[in-house]
Amino acid sequence: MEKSLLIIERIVVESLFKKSLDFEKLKVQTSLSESLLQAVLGQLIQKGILVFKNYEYELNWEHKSLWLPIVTDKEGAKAEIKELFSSLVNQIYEKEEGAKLKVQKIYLNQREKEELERNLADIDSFIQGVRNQRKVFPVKENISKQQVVFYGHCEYRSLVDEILKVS
Amino acid sequence: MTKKAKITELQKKTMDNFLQVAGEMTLSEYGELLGIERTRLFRLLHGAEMKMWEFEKIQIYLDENGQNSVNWENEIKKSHQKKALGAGVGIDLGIQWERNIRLRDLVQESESLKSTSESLEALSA
Repeated sequence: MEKSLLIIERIVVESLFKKSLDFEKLKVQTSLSESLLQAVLGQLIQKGILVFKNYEYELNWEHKSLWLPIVTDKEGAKAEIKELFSSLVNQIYEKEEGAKLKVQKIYLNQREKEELERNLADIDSFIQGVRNQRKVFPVKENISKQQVVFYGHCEYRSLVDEILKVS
Repeated sequence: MTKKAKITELQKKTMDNFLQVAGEMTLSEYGELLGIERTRLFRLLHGAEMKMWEFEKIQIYLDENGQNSVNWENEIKKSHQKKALGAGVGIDLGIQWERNIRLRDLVQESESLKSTSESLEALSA
């Protein structure tokens, strides 16, 4: 049995996280083509992650212990982040509208590093604030239209060391 | 009792080369050729960890019999690279490879579903 979810499986699982949906609504939520969505749903049902009840698909909460380890697998999450990041990089280089990525290399002193940390914490607070606001004033959300935001930083040397580990 | 887990690629290659050069013989005859006790040789063949002097004896035998001795530097380097790959990107690549295959299978399945539904539509039209 596979240990992790593919991104096209993840988007379906995320769409059903709050409530069960029928095929048409799932198609809108995921933006997957009809045939691909059918194939993914078939796989997820086979794995015991989804069940089909009253013409709707829902997460198999009754047997969550069987599939939660797949959804939360650490190596799988790492692979997913790499795939998403690599997809973003490809989009940037193909000049896809709406995709933004900035990579900056700069030497920062201690004070500047702390300021960078504060700014990143501000982004965190902003996102958390929006999440909290949604709880009070829910909006009609579409999973496939969510913004995927990457941020983080690291010393150049550590990145180079990581690359050298494999050479 | 033999310790199979400890056998290294270098040891395996050394023993394989020796057996190939020496040809089919009894354990006692192998032992005489190398100056190693046959019981010890039996253990080495079954994965006991080889001592440096035993390794040297086999290397000398291979040299004397016109067979290139095992290049231990290369073997150690290869084994080190294998470990590094296993610890880091090797695992990542394995996962990525498995995920790519699953994705490809899903896309293929979806294409076959699409063509089936198109055929059905054409039939009903």
